[in-house]
Amino acid sequence: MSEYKAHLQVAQLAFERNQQLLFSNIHFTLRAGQVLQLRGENGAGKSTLLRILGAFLEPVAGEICWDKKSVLLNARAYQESLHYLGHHNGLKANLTIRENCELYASIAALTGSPDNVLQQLALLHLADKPVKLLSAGQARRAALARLMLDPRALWLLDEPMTGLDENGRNILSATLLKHLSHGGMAVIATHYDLDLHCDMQTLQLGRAHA
Amino acid sequence: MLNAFFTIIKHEMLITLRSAHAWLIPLLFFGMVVCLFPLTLGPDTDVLKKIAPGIVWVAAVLATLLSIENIFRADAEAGYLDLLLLSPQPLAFLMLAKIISHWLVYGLPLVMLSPLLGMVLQLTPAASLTLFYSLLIGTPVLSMMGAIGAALTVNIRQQSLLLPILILPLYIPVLIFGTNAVMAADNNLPVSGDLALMAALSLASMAFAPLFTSLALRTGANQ
Repeated sequence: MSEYKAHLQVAQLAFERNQQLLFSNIHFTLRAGQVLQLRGENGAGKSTLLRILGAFLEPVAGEICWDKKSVLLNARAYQESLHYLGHHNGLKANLTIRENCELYASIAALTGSPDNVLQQLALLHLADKPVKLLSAGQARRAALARLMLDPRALWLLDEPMTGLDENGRNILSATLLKHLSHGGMAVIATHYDLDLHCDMQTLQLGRAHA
Repeated sequence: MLNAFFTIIKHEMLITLRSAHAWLIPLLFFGMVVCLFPLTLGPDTDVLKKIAPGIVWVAAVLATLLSIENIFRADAEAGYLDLLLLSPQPLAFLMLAKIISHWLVYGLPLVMLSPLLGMVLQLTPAASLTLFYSLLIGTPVLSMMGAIGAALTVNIRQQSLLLPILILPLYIPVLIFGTNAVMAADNNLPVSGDLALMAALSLASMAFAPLFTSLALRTGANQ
């Protein structure tokens, strides 16, 4: 069963910062149900690559194609079909989890109550607490809610496990597997080994590779 | 789309209500700057009357500069701005909601305080009323234009003086018409022309500023 048809194709991607090549010659193709794990030491450019894949940043060379169309030319359509979870959770600190979900739902044009998702994340009892009073792990969990609320084909996750306890990691893995089984894709930057039984590729960034 | 518009405004207001110091400080700053002038210029009401409109308008500009700087800063740091960029809704429309919330929270209180400041500056009732109207019509321009500057500088660290330099020139037209209207009212001249021109500026800025702001944010993500 596949809900998403598109695939992500990356060729000859390069990026430089302060006239120094951060990475070059990045190649991969990601199809429905596949995961790409980004590995590499600190400063190897994992986060930067994710921001490039999210079309927030332009690469200095190379091409990203989504559904066989260049992302540079169709950034809007592409961005609507991806989730980006960076180092920051994208939550407003002075709003409660529930209000954050409401705000996200309106921005993403969703309907329905977030209660079911919050229940799955074991956050329902905290739903009316302002995000600034949550622990780092709880806030991270709350950020996962939008992956579950809003079905999008491509997930770009930057160290998604940060702050999560074992239970939280299990929830994330289960959510991810469900997403893949529906034909979703994910690019995940992480230092940990992902303990997932799925179709996984690994991309090593860093000097050894460049 | 309208739902997103009103939800953004509602939540931005909620956030502000929960952090009172954030909106009170620019307002207090505005009041204090204006009050310094009668204290330092002495009891000569003629001088005061002549420069009162300018004082209030310049203070309103400074107070706006103080508050507009952070309109996108916190959102960018929280990663919330990325969500807006990934939204299927037109970004300019979301920006319009955001800037209108900024005006409701920071601009409108300045307008509300102005009759009191009119008294402090010994303006005639007619001039005071015109001051109120000119601020009501003109302060949206300050928020709209300011947002463009804030969007352009959101990713530049230690830019505290870059923003005023960028946007102060854009404030000149509205400053001229705003002070002109109040001076005209003080001399019992008609003010509708100045106010109409300000309304035109205000509407034009509402039409264009969200577009430029969203454009700036999309390019600015490209830091």
